[in-house]
Amino acid sequence: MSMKRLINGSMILAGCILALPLLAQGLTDRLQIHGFASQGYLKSTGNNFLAEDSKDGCMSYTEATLNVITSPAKNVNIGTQLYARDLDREGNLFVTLDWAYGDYRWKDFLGIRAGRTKMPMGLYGKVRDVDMSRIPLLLPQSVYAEQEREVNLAIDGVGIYGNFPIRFLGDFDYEAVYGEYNFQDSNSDFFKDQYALAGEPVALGMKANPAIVSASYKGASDAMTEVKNVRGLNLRWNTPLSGLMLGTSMNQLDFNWDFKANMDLVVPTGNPASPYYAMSQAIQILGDYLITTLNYYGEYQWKGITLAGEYKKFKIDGDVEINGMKSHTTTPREAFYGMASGRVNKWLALGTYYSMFYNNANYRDGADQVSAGRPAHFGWQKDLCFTTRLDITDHWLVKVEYQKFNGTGQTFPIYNPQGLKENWDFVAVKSTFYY
Amino acid sequence: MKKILLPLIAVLLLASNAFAADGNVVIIANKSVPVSSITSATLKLIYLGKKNTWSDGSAIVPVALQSGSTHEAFLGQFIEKSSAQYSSFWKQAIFTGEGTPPRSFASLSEMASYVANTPGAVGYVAAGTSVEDVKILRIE
Repeated sequence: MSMKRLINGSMILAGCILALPLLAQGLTDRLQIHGFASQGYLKSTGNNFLAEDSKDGCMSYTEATLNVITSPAKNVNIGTQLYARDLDREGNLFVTLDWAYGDYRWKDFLGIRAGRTKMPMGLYGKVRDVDMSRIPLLLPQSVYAEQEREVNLAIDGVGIYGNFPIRFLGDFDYEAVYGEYNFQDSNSDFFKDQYALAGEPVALGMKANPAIVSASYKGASDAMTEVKNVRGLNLRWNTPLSGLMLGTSMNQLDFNWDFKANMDLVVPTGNPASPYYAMSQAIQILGDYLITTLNYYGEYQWKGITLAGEYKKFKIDGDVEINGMKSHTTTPREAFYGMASGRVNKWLALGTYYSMFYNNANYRDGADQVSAGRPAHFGWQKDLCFTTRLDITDHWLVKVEYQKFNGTGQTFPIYNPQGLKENWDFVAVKSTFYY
Repeated sequence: MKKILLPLIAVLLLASNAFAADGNVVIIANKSVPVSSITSATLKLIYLGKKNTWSDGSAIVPVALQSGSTHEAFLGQFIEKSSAQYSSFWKQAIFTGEGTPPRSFASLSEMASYVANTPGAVGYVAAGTSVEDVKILRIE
């Protein structure tokens, strides 16, 4: 972690904490300042999850944010939020512009936003960071994988939104956006994992060549990822049945990557005195994909109880070019969860969910993973979660969560070089101060 | 399936008994407000930040109580949320920059006074509460 990053992260954390007593209710009607700072503890058995040392127990889960919202004129809002996170090697508390935009609400049914805005994806896509607004600590990982936060959260562009009531049918909320993602780092652990998923089968294919004794993937270099033409639409129907909301979202983007997959090869020399020769080779991999995400979801609130469910289909469709040889690929991923949470009293809330993810919906048994040289259980990930939220004061909460996992479809192999275990457990504890 | 349903049922049973709001509330508004009646659906849109203007184009200024049985009753009766769910909704809006919650007051008298003195303001009091210089909106 560089000194600059450390100082930046420290400043935002210090700002949050110092501002807390001054700003609990916002400064005035026209200027509001809010923020939170949280610290988590992660512990797993079997596999390292979210952090490369979670099996040993680690504190590598820190978040802080600070936002300012002002209304300089009627129906006009301008706001910005700074965000810093440290999730093991991700983030390093480097302060990023989480969102920053101007908003003009012309009519109730039509408003426009421009700037960096949150991506309207699914039921909780926009609010995944807002820990204090929900009971579970981690959202169901099948749909809201923590490692994918950076690539799903915000776009730079424009959007329209609004609400229109339709008499006895309830009312509809809609939001449509267009723009592009700006990644902080094409070499983040998330991308390293994706490069490995593309590079390892290439090594396996090379190994099948009788002219090669062994081939192994040794990481990526000169990596570049680019996302353009991000378009998103989210539609919510607040039904006339009290507390029931149904919704759907569609997101589509053009994704390109270009990296070198570095291979260690052993080839025969034909010389009996020195039969093998070890060498390195960089394989150029280019990908040009259309990625489509469809979410269907519902939420029902009754008294203090919230029931939620969501189904997500994620399709990667495009061309991949390996050392000049082009082929077409289509991978339909699939995810689902059902969740129930509720408040027992003012300070205690409980929740549970069951979440399922399939790396390829056409091979739910993981047969395609076996073909690619990975264990079958890399084809899915299922987890049963129990969570507890304790509201110690109006501005401080603690969450304790246990998850029982089967499968490793969303577990980074690079965090588990010793191999992945099919059944494993995960515990997370998190404390959040907010105002 | 049993291992999924049992914890689900346990959570539902525990939480369903945790909230009980009693009593009726009356909707009050500043005398400048251009309506004399309002629907529950419209109130819900107003308090969730989805409707910002009255029929004459003037700004709606919703206000709320910070806590208490009248607040719980209002949220349950008109917004269809518990106070925790209402608070969560606005935390999500705050931390995505999509809005700020209605101004809230510690006491009924403070809120009623604000409604009386603020054009476009709308609020609520417990049924039977005596309030001056405001209009009562009939629920359609």
